[in-house]
Amino acid sequence: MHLIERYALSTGLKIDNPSISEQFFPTSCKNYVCFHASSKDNLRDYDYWSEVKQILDPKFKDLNLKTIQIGLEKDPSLNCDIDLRGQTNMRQMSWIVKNCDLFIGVDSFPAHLAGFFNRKMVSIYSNSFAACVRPYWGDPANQKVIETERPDGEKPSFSFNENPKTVNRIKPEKIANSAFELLGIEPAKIKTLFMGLMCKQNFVEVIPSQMTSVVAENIIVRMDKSHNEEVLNNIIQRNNVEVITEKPIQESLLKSGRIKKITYRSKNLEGGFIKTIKNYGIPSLLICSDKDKLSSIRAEYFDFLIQECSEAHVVKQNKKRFKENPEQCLITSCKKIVCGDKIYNSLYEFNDKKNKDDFYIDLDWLFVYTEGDE
Amino acid sequence: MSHSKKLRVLVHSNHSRLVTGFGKNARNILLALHKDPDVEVIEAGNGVKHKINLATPWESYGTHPSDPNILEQIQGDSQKERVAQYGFYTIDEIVEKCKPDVYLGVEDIWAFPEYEKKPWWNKINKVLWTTLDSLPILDQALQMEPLCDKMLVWASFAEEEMKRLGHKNVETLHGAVDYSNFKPLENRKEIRQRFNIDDSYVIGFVFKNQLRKSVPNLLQGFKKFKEQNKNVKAKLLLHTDWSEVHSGWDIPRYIKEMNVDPNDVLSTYVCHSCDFYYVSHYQGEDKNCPKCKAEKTFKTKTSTKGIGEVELNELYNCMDVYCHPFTSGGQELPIQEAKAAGLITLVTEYSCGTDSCYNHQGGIPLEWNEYREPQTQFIKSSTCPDDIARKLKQVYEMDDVDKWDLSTKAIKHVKENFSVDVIVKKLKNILFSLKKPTKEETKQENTQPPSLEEFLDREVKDRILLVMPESAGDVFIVTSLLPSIKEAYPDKDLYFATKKEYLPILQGNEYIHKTLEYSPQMENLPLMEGRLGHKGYFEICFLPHVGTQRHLDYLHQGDADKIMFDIHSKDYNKKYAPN
Repeated sequence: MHLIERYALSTGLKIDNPSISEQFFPTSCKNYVCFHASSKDNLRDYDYWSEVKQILDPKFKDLNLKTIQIGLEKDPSLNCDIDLRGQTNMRQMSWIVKNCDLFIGVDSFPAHLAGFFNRKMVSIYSNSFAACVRPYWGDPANQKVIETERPDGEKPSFSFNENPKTVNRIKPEKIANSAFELLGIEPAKIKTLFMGLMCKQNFVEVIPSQMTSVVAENIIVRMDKSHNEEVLNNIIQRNNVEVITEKPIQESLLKSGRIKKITYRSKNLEGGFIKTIKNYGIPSLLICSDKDKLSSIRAEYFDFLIQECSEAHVVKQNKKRFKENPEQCLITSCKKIVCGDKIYNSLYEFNDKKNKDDFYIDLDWLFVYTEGDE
Repeated sequence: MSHSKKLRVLVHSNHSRLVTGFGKNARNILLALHKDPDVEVIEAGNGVKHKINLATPWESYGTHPSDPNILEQIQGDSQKERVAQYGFYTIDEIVEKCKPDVYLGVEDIWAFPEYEKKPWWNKINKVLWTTLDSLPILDQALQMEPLCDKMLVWASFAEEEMKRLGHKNVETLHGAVDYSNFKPLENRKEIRQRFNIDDSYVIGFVFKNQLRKSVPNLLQGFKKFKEQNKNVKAKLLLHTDWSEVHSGWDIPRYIKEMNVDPNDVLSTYVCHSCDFYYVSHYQGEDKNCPKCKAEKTFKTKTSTKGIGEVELNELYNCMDVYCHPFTSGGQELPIQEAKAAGLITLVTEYSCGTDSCYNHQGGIPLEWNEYREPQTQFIKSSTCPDDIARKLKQVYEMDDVDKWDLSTKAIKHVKENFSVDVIVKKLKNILFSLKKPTKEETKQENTQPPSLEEFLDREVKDRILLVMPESAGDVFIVTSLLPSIKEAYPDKDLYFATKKEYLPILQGNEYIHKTLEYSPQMENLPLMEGRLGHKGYFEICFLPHVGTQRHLDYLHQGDADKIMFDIHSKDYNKKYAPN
């Protein structure tokens, strides 16, 4: 049952047409696509709008369609031609939606407006049945209602505490191609194969085998890949970093205050190094990579949380999650691998795609797709 | 490893890494039993979330629910939230998963509500090991005793009283104290010099800042001692959370009120960044660490951040005498720690204090007066300040031989009665001696009328209120019902209430007489429409949001339900209607 039907039944009243007195807002363009990317609760915020835009933008340019983003100031930017986040009231927003050529957005107020004004529209739904909350007015032929993927008969969460968010299961090309269909354009040939839960998080991993001029907000120095304290010392002159290491690191580097977290992974964790890390108040993740010693090491260092090394398990599990051949796929990620002055999209690429385990270990950081005819 | 040969014991207590009395006991018991070849321990840890990896040497589970549905269900219900903290909602799943031979519940007795109705209760052995601190004994303990295979209490006075009342299946088993880090130190002079207290008579008290710790009595006793012994350079060291003024004592205020020299009352500061600690008179919280220079990290201990046991032992070694006045207590671990560090302990002679305050226990009893705790009617003790002053003088004037004698007795007492080895041995005997079981919200109604009247026109009978508190989308779509309201109630004024931020959507709406800012009282229908002598404010108050924003009663797989009558007006384009 749709929300408005529930309201009608609850009050004994009949459904007519809703009303809002829209207020003019100057937009400086006649033909435009209106984007609304965010809902009040952030739960329905979709994290792959930039991927959607990458597919849409060239075609919009061909059609001379501008893009306008409406919503709150805090909404993530979609890099639209005209950015009206936080600049319109609800009635002005209504005017902008009423006059758009195409509306693309999440389950929220502007989607109801687009429906009511009978605009061509694509809207996405996740934590509830779309049938209950979709646009109620307007010609369904103008509406592409996309409900998130729910495999194996899964039902919506009806929750405001989703983690991970189910809306992120919608593939970017599904949204883009729905828009193309409404505009009478051929669909794009991109096929998303996997969207890692963390592929939108900005991170830099540095392999410290060579000097690098990297400056970034979130840096992990992979001392486990190349234990080079000279390069580490150089990097921390300019950055705060996290470190992953298999061997103790000299105290002077810990003393610098630039190392904000250490992941210490070893078969034989050295108690002295663990205590030194604690003395400097550096948060740490301690991993014992020898399963047979794990229990005794946990008892010996009971006051420290010693984790089990899970790489082999992760590889096994991720092989089940991703069944395509990584060699035939394209990869993108917000986590970049830096070595010297070269930048790679994954450790897998850094290692010339020689070790597929690298791909599976990093899978949750990757956005994997194919382009063109298969 | 054959599981079947080992006794599988599920220990359900504070998580073993929590720095609480129960947490420390759990840690000691679990570490010892983990090494025992006859026992396989599993931990159900209160105070940590279910389904997170606790990285313990043994199989372990946090007990606080992580399922959003349960969290939603308990949110706002203090009783449910309280039992959730004790694992009420997750323990069944844990028992089902780990299939223990014995359930060992180690908590306050109110942590086990209706456990006898749990599906597994009669299928396995169950032992409750609980703290009881006052007389009369709590009804819950008397009720649970016959329902478990064994009830263990932390203090002997509770065992005696329960047995007197005819409950025979009770035994005293103190909480296990790992005193390996607590001992007299040879460099105690050096440590005292570090804190500039080497020439002082230092009286110590280590405690969590709670009202049951008799801080005002101790301050009074200390003041009297100072007044009566003007030549003694006495200092009172209170190792506690001084900032905990809301649920504990506002110590600086009492020091001022009692006219005690603030320089004579010492506190311990610990850096939350580098763990450096220091003893000095109290100077407030959030200081900059003198060692690592971190800003605002130097504070007195908190429930989550204290000093390590090695450092705590140094602190005990700074003291000349340990004084623990309280209203009642389950065991009071610091008393045993102080004894193990070789200190003479002055303890209130009530409750668990009777296990620590006598000469053969290396203690000296403190006199007290009885009072009844309001509401619970429990007997509580108010320790006599005069006696505190007297006993402090007694220790001060003791010769070295007498001191040595008492100190030796104290160390021996802890070793023989509280040590991990002794307690675990007793516990193991109890667990192995058990006979295997045979098969077999009230939402407070705010009746205060809101000051609505001033916004309303005409009479009650002429008014209709439509409430839609949430969401711009819902406010917008519900405007589609307004023509129908006008048609059905042409003579009435329509008031529309929503949250302030959605009011602009309604601006200029021809069907609305006035908009109102939503208030939760509007959901109280008798208040809005009238009850008894109260005439109400509206003839009709529509609350359509109750079925969508308060409860979900419209989902039905999205569109599986049918509406068997026409709910659309003549102006609605019916070809668009989904139903």
